[in-house]
Amino acid sequence: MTSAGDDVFRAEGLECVYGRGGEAVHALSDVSLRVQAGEFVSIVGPSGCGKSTLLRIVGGLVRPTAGTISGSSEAERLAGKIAMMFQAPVLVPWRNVLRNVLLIEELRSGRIKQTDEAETRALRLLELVRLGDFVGKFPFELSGGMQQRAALARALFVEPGLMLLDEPFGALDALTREDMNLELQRICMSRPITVLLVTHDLNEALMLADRVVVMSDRPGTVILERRVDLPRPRSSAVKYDPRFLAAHEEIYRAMHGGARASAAERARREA
Amino acid sequence: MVSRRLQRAVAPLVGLLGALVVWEVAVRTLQVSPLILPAPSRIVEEFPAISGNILRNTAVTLTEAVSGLVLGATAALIVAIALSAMPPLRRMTFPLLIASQVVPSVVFAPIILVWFGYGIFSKVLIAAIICFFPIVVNTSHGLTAVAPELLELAQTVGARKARVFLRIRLPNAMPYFVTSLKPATTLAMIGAVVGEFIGGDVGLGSSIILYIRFLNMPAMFATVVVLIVSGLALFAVVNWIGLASIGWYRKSLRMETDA
Repeated sequence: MTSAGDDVFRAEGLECVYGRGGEAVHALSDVSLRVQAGEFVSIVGPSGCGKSTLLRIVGGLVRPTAGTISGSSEAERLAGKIAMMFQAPVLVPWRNVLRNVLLIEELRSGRIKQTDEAETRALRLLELVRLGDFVGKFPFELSGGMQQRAALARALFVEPGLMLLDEPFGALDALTREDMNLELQRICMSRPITVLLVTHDLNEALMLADRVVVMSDRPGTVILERRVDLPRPRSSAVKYDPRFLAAHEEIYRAMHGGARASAAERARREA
Repeated sequence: MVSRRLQRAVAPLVGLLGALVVWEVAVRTLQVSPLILPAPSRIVEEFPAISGNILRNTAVTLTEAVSGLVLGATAALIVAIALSAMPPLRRMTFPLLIASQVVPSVVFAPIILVWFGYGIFSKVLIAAIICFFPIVVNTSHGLTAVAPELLELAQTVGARKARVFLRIRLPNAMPYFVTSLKPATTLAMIGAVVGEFIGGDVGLGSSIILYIRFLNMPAMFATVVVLIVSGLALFAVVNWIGLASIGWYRKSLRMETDA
């Protein structure tokens, strides 16, 4: 277990190149990032900037071409205590909601028969994400938002030291997304948890994060880190707070300037 | 008011009845010889005459088809699993499997009869070979068509390959497997009957050949009717068992049709 203040991971000089030769894609270039235990960090940037790649490197799913990752995240990974959430809920259609949550335990432990303890814990988490009345439903009987709630319960089930969220609410409508943001905040405040959230929604990033990391267009690199010192719990109305607006503008300008700079560079390269 | 479900069930029966009436009227007015095409009424009259052996022959043909289906499906499942577990093997053989689907499998039938004799076993084998391919291809697809995120999820909690296979790939392939049993059932019937056509003295296929030899067309058509009804019944039973074995799939299908 990590305590607040320890580094969950320190990424230094990360490079990531997919493929080789003329078709090589330079996804990440000299990315350094440090996340402490208990922090909520949002990563924003233009699409295709390598934010998902960064997330996958931290999760041990992708090997960086160069650079190092240190900190407790590797130990968490080995203990099966890294949780991931994607834009798609990826629930399996042949299991009801409760058994979908338990699937992650079966994958982790290899045990087929689940203990009562595991089932009780799964049920408690489903209560927490307000799916208590739907534990016996199949995924295709639920709305998109409810499916994502189930995916959240499944992520929490592994008691993650680190949660990696890859645009988890990107496929939801704006209202449901705002709902889910509040839910996520409520849940994160209720337990010691470190979260890395990748999103292209600046409001979502700011509303949830202690710190927002801004990445440039490909090859992605960190162009700005911005603390968000707003008291919690934050409501949806936090987006009208002057401090929120100031951070929003700063990040927007950084992204916009970055995009313009890289477009200019591309034009120069092509010329 | 008649319910929509009832309408849906009755409509094809009305169509069938219409076709029979057209057939009957056409044969009578054009005075077609029963040696070419007997009228439906004439075929119905023939049932008592063929009833002596029809039950036994039907049982033989169905046994061949069902055994062939079970054998073919089991082999197909094992091969599909082996191929998905060994990607190099899959790359080596899968294109061949696909290509072999173009070859009409009935060309193997005479060879099988030469090798294994004119008994029931040869027909079972022919049926098995014919229904093998669609099941392998479909099931292999089901074993590999898993959302990459789901595999990443398994990877983050350190799930080993065998676990991923049992918990994710195999259940994911079930609907593909069950769906492929539908064409496979039809193919197994074809395999059994073709085997009987070529050689042997029992089964509906043998009867049909025999009646044609004696130019007993009404009896031949009556036997064909029995063959069609048996095939439909087998199809319905296999379909029902398949869907019943994966309840969630039937439920999701029902939701789709209701929506």
